[in-house]
Amino acid sequence: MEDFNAIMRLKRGDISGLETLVRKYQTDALHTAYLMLQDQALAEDIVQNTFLRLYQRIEHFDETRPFKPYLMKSVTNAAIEQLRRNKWVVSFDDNAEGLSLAELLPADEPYPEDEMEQAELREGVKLALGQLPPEQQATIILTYFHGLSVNEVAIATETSQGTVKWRLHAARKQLGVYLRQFWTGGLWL
Amino acid sequence: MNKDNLNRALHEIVEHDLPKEIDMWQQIEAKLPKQNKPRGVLRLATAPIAASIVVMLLVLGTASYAMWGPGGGKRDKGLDGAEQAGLFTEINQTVMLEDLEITVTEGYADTQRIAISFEIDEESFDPDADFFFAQLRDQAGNQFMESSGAYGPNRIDLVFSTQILKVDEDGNLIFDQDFSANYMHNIGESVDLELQLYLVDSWMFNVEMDEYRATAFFKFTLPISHAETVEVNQSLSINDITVTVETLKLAPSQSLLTMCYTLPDGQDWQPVTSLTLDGELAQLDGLRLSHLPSPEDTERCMELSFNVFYDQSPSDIVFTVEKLKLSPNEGPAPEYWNEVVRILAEEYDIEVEFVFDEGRGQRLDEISRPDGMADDIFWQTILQAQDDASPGVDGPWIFEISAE
Repeated sequence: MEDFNAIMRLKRGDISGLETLVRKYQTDALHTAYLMLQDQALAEDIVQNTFLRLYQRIEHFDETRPFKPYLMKSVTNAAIEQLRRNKWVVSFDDNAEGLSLAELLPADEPYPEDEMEQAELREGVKLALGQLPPEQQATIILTYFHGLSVNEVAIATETSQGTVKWRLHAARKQLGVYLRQFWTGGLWL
Repeated sequence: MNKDNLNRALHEIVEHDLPKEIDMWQQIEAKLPKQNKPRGVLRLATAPIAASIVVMLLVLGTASYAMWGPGGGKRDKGLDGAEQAGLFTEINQTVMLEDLEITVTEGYADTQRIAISFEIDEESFDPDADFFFAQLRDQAGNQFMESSGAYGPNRIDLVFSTQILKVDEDGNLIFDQDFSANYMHNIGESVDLELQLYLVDSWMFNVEMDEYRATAFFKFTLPISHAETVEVNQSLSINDITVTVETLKLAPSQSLLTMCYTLPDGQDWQPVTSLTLDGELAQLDGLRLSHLPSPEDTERCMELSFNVFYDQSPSDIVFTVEKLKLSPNEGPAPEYWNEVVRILAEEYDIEVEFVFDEGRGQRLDEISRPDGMADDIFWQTILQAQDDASPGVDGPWIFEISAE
């Protein structure tokens, strides 16, 4: 109801509606954009511009639809566009064919307790994420960071559930390859 | 690495790399077209924080009041005229909210707005601890959505627009454009209302409805003054810009004008407008964009609401678009910002520096301001200087309209 009221206020030109939406969703939106772009300033720009576009096009927004998936779709689309413009994305590594994430990195491997190892893991995941095609990055982040279901990710990325499953499969496999290469010192970025 | 560890790693990345407290609202707000912000009066309606501000203003006095525009401290012209014409209805219902005595004194309704006045017993009122907000419904539970406010000594006015949320079969409030647009016109000669006041602890953002300390209901009926609609349909072209006035709806407390204009280019151009009714200058209350141009379509349409009293007798009305001004948010042209700096220094004795931050726009660094200048006045002056420095397309486009 809070989102609905905020959107209706915004449709009447009352920017307090936009403020409500910004304050409620800016953190989730920024986290999503940052995980994809790995650049805070760029991520902030993406999020700010997404809210500004929402403001400009609010007349066309159906207030009965849930707002968060719409926002996440806008943020990930903008981030994908940015990645396509500015970043060379390496192609899928054929060596990963046929191997699952679990096979590449055992699922029972404990999360490191040591701070140095945690920092190393963070860097590894960031570097590996950065190597994924933008659509796969978005799928991984919406699934494993935001905890969205396959159906919700399909809505947010405007694609079919089958495509989401395929992207998850491919992304997991590729992440595994990159993470392994990272830890064995073989990944040059 | 299993799914849980990946989830944990992703969360640790953002926790480690990004600040815990994120607030991008100021940067976003600075990029918005300034004209689209409500003007003149405080908008509060369903936003509890804004309602709290009304209470805060009551005790802070005129220094803070300036923040909210020239109409404060008393009713706006439209409602003031309606009261003087005897269109307000006495209510006089008193309740105690804890030890706070509140009396709803009178109310008014026309097809544009509903105004309700109440008094607070100042002796029992603690501005550090007592804040409240309001909801206005009809007997079916449909809820009026938007309002503004005004305050005076020991008195607060809540002003609701007649936009209304409809309660559906499941008890949820939904917005139905047709229902809302026709509600006040179809309801007849009067409206039965229920005002609910909530007393809350503090001036909070995002206060939840179930966090209130106490609540009170007031039930009353208000007669409705209906609006007259004038089909204007006049167009004027000056400097290759065509301005069209389509309709003017005249309710006693507020006039609603629908206008369209061509944009000189793809940038955000905003009209500087005024409306007089029998020589009385109306107060611009707000605007709502009703048609946004696409790259191929450079026409923009909007509804402008003006607070002025219409006594329902034949009247001469003049609507003027003085000029179109380029929004200060369009482009970081150095000469524009230099002009803002010059105006601030020469006319207001304020020294500032604008620093262009790549990817984030302009950042203002304050160097000096006159002694004692409050923050709200300072920022209002900055906005005024930005307004003055904006490039424009001169008119005027003047429309003479008769209400028979």
